[in-house]
Amino acid sequence: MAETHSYWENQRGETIVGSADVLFWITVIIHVLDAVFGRLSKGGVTIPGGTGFFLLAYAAIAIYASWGVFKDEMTEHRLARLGKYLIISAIAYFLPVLVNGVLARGVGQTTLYVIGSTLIFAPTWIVYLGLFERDHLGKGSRGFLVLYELIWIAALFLLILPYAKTATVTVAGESGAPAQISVQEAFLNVYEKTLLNYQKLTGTVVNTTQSQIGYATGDAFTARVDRNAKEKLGVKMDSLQMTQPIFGVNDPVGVFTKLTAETIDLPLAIGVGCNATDSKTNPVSPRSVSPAGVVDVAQQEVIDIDCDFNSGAFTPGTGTVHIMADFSTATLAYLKTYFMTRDRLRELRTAKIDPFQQYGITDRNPATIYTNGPVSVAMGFSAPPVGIDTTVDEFTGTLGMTIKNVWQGKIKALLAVYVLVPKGFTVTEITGTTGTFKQTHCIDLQEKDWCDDALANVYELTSPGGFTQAIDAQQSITLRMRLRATAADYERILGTTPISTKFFKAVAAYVYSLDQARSFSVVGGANSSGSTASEKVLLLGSPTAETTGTTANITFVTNVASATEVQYCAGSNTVSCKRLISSAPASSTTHSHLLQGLQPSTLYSYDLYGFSSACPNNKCPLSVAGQSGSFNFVTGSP
Amino acid sequence: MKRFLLLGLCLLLVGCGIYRPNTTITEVNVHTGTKGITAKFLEQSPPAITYANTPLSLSYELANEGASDVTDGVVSIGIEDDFLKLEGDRIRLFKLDGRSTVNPQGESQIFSAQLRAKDLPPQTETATTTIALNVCDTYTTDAELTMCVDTDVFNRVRTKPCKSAAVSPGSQGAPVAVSKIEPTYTADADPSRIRAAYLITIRNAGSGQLFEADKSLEACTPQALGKNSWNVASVKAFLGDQQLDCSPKKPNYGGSEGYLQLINGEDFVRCELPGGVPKTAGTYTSTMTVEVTYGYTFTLTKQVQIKRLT
Repeated sequence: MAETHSYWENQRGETIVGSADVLFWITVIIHVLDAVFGRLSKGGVTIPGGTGFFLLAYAAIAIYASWGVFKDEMTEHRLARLGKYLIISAIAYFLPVLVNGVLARGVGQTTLYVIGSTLIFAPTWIVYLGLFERDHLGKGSRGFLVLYELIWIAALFLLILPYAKTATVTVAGESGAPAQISVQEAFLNVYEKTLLNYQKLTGTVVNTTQSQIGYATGDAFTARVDRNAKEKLGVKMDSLQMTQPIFGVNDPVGVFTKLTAETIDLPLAIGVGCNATDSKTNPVSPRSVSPAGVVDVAQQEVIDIDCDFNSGAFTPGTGTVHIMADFSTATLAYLKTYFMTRDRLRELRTAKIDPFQQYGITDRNPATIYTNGPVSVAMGFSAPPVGIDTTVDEFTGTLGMTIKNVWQGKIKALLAVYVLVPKGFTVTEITGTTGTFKQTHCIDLQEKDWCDDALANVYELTSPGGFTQAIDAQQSITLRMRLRATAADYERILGTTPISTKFFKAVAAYVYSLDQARSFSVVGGANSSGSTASEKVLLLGSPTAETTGTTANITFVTNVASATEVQYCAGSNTVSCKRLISSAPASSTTHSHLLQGLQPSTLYSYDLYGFSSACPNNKCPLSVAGQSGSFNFVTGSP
Repeated sequence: MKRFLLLGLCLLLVGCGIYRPNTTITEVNVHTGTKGITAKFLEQSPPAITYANTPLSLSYELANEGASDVTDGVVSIGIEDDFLKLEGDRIRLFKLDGRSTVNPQGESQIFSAQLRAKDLPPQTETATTTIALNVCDTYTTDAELTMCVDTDVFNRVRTKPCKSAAVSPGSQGAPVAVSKIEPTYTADADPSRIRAAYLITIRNAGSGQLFEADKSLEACTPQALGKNSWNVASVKAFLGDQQLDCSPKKPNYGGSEGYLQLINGEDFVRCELPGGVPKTAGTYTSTMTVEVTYGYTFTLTKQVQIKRLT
């Protein structure tokens, strides 16, 4: 039974501050340091000692917890506790590493953002102490935990209950003006603001769409994906799979994968292509590609792609195959902004009245919202509310737009870019590209339902030598458009209310190309000229294995020249384990395979194969005459 | 015969009013509270969630919960045209009587309009749009209280009928309140009279903003109201039936009215009794009436989530 030692007790014997509290607050401090100066900070680890500091800190916490706080007379119990606390410390230490290193490559930025935020708000040690060691904590720590848990409970209820989605609440919101929004929305707003403020403080704001490369005009604009849109919207291609791990030169080579498309509206027309190069980088054309040509893929459909090459198409060595999926799609974006007469704006500011608060606007600086997909479109205009001086004949402003490839594929070409400016504005000039623009109408847009000629002037930007060029992953282009409104247009822009809300919209249509590649081995024939061995390959003598702590060199001799292969894995046999393969495509009678990356002091088993047309599937299992089964070796000590 | 005498006695008693029903008549004080014109969206109108390309109703109730009548009320409806279409006028005028002994609740009126949610952008499942009601009107705060007028400025009289002190009148049934009146009685150049001055503090007790009276239409539309037209109010004050001379005054305007420019929701005027008070009047109580006139505006918003019909 664990015991704790109290440092201060009140007259009734209740713990005020005990050693468990010291532990608790140490974990809080370490976590705050980790969040501000450590792994959870975007600025990286800036604390003296680097990540080693946190490794030592969490190890010390585990030792202190088992020896200094939750004491036990029996040493074996104490050791068991130490093991448990070391595991907790390991989770606390390695979770940020996992998020930053592993998940960052496998999940979307939004998911990563959520996980990272959750780590900030749910530190491992604090959660553990709150759940399992609460009785040992004093009043102050328990009070802190109760407050912390209430926030979580409120958050869960507000997120889960259907009531929270439909019931409305009148809030002062950001501006303080009364506004009715759903309970859930109110909660999310508070959560976002809290998180944002925290991240501003610590510099951990992750802007997933912040452009890194702008064109000559410099400034790039930022946007956020529609929060309500489906996370997976778009097209995804799985990694390529080969029909067999190694091919003989006379084998037909096959590769396949899956393509998943998620759309809401129109099906996507996807063109599938396949090509390859042999070991001498000569191009190899496929015998067939399935599906051939262009295929329409609708909502959440999955299509299988197969690509086959003729026998003998590849020379021995390493070949590379590519499967490409090209599709035309469009990203739609809109930017909300507010307009007022400049005089009204000045009147209010002179009277120290916040126009946003006065007119119940909570979204003070709206970001561009764009539909989810491989490309982000961000726009920027003057800071809202935009004051229009109605005493002069002309208003001018600049609308900027950044188109960025946010996926790992390639924008092969921008087919068209449409900009919809609020009725009353006209585009007079475009910079940042060599292209031109022309006024058009909603009927010319494929997304015509989203476009209303009564509300917007539509412009098509065309630039054969400019932005139609390919845009690689994470690259962007920025365009700037000069806008103009005359006095006759002011009424239309300003509307009939003190502040008017208008939208700038954009449609970027493009051809996007996803490309997956994979290398594979082709083994040659029975002689050096590359012809296939017609004689069955046999093992002469026994193989030998020279080992170190992490490597093993397998050498053996065959009766005829052949390419060979070693399949190996840790364990006493190769049946129930995940095999690794070492291939030697060159034909020879003496063979040497260096296996690397092995675990020290570990038993490994392996099988040998030669390649010949005399064997089933051109593959001859090699064994010592009269024996069967795998060979074994044990790696050396580290 | 006895029966007739008994019946006659009963009739006589009733007729003389010996029997009285247990009812009382109470006078309602309508000059309480800090509300003026209020607005609220009716339940599910607009709904918090609607669907693309479907109609929805917009119904709101305007009520006058203060004590002043409104004759120039304006409400302008702000919507995001890219998401919603409004059938009908965006600007409406209204008149609403305030609370009175006849109608202690004040007048209210329900307005309705039809909206239609437009199609959502392609590849978009939901969007949130905001509907705003801008309400503007001219309102008047009437504060009436008893003020002790003390001509004994040197405090030589031991026993007085009342004592001069600052008075906080409480709420007056309007969003702008007279929060405090501080009297000052000082000797005058004329030894037979004293000077009577009052520092009147005005406070914005509501959540809206003040603007220059009689500019309701401008305030609820994009038009400019003019320089120094916000957070202002005019003040008239009377001691008995005599109007006080208040200052500061509105620039380039004469008269006795004071003109306030609220900073952080509060300001004061100094009002003086022209000619002062004869010392022979002694110490007495008098009714002080303060009338504050201003334009008042606030905005009510509601967010509507538009979902795609799948």
